[in-house]
Amino acid sequence: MGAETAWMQATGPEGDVVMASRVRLARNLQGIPFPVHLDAERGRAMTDRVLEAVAHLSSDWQLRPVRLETLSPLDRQILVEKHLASPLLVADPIRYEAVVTDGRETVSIMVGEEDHLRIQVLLPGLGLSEAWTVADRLDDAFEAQLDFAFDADHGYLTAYPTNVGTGLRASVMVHLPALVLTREAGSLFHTLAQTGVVVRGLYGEGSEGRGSIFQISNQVSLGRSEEEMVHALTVVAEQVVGRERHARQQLEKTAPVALADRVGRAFGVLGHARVLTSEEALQLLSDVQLGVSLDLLPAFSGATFSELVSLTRPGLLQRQAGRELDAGERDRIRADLIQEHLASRSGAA
Amino acid sequence: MSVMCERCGQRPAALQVTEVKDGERREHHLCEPCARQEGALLPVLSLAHILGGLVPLESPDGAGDALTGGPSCPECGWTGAQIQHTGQMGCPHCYEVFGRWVDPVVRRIHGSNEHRGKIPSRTGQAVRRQRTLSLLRSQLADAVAQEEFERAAELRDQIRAQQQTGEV
Repeated sequence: MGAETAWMQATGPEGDVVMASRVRLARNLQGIPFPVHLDAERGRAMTDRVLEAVAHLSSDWQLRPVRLETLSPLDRQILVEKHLASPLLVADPIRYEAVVTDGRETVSIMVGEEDHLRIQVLLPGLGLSEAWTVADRLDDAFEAQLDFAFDADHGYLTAYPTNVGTGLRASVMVHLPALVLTREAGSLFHTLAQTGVVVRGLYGEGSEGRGSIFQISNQVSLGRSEEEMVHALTVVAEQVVGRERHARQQLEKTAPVALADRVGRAFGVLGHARVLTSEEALQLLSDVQLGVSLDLLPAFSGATFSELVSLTRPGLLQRQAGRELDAGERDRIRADLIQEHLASRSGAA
Repeated sequence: MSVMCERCGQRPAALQVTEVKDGERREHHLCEPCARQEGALLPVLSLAHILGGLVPLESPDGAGDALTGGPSCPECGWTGAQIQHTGQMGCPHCYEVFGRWVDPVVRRIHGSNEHRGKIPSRTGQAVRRQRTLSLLRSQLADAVAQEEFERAAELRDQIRAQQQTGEV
């Protein structure tokens, strides 16, 4: 509503598999304890210092800072659903945390999460090196005003030693329905883990594989340049894209009826169900999207797959409805909303 | 019949480890102790686990003093026990204070102890100068070893100039 969220609404390179790419840089101010050890008063001073720097950045960035204490629980939840903030940042108690986003919600800077700053750039499709370029420029702009904690051996100093060095984490959000259906995903992830690549669910740990959506990211942040890391993960993502496309073709070849039946059933249920939980909706949307990618079904109308996945989450659904909804109401409104985006093609079928 | 560990040949293999190197895939059959030594089990151990005491942390220089009960950070007061509990450092200075214990862990996680990425223009000025200086010093050592004394004199002047700009 109002705000544009580029990664959700647009599709990018390799968009049939890669929903979005993200690069984040962890940065901390010199001489100030990390958030784990920061009392409310000094935390507030840290946030003030960062937001003052934001105010002095070029207006070209179109940055809008928001202190989380001014947001309702619903608005905080929406930030998580749009992947602009982590569940950890918005978790109670809110002390001094803030989020800075740009007009297209491509940039989001979390203030006071595990590190003082987490500069994130989120783009649709596979675009890690583009995301890194933007993050690097924004980091330079901050660095002109803020003294970031840094030493020669460790590089940028972070709260967790797992993030030192570049402070960079690159990740791609991928939709792998065929690899899940053919049960190849497990062995693929196992292989990836051996190469220092981490696979998590859509909303981080504990949400593994819902709707066959996964986040794949680098684990190592020290010992290689940012460009090398971004390139390495891009190569991994391209391989995953190749494997998923191959698995989709295999399904079409070896089990065409079962495949058509599965996506057709999903389409039927989404088109006629009156009540949908978010779990069920996610799985059915995933199945329909698989059908769309193989031209078995026409594309969603007026929304992308990424957008429908996000819009049917509890927070964004309530935003759309303009009021708080209990669980039963949400399930009914979710079913209605999805039907709107299927309706225009049911006549054509 | 069970497969024996291909590394020690003593114990039955408990794990099949896939190694991907230069685009080639190789399967290894290892027992658990050998897999651990090869680092194959590390990815599943998070830092919090390692620091949290699953793997006992002792200083590598053999002094045997444990992280807990050791120093606390003079800048922020963070202790080794807090690092073990949270897996996090208290402030940037903690890296200096607890480096003896934390650096080996960092090396195991990242496979490196050397930052090769971006250097910030402000807080990294000294680092940039250090990198230049150490490069010049190694060139100087080479020049002396090869008895290229003119080149050595040039390098020495450059090193002096660098050191002076650093002091300004």
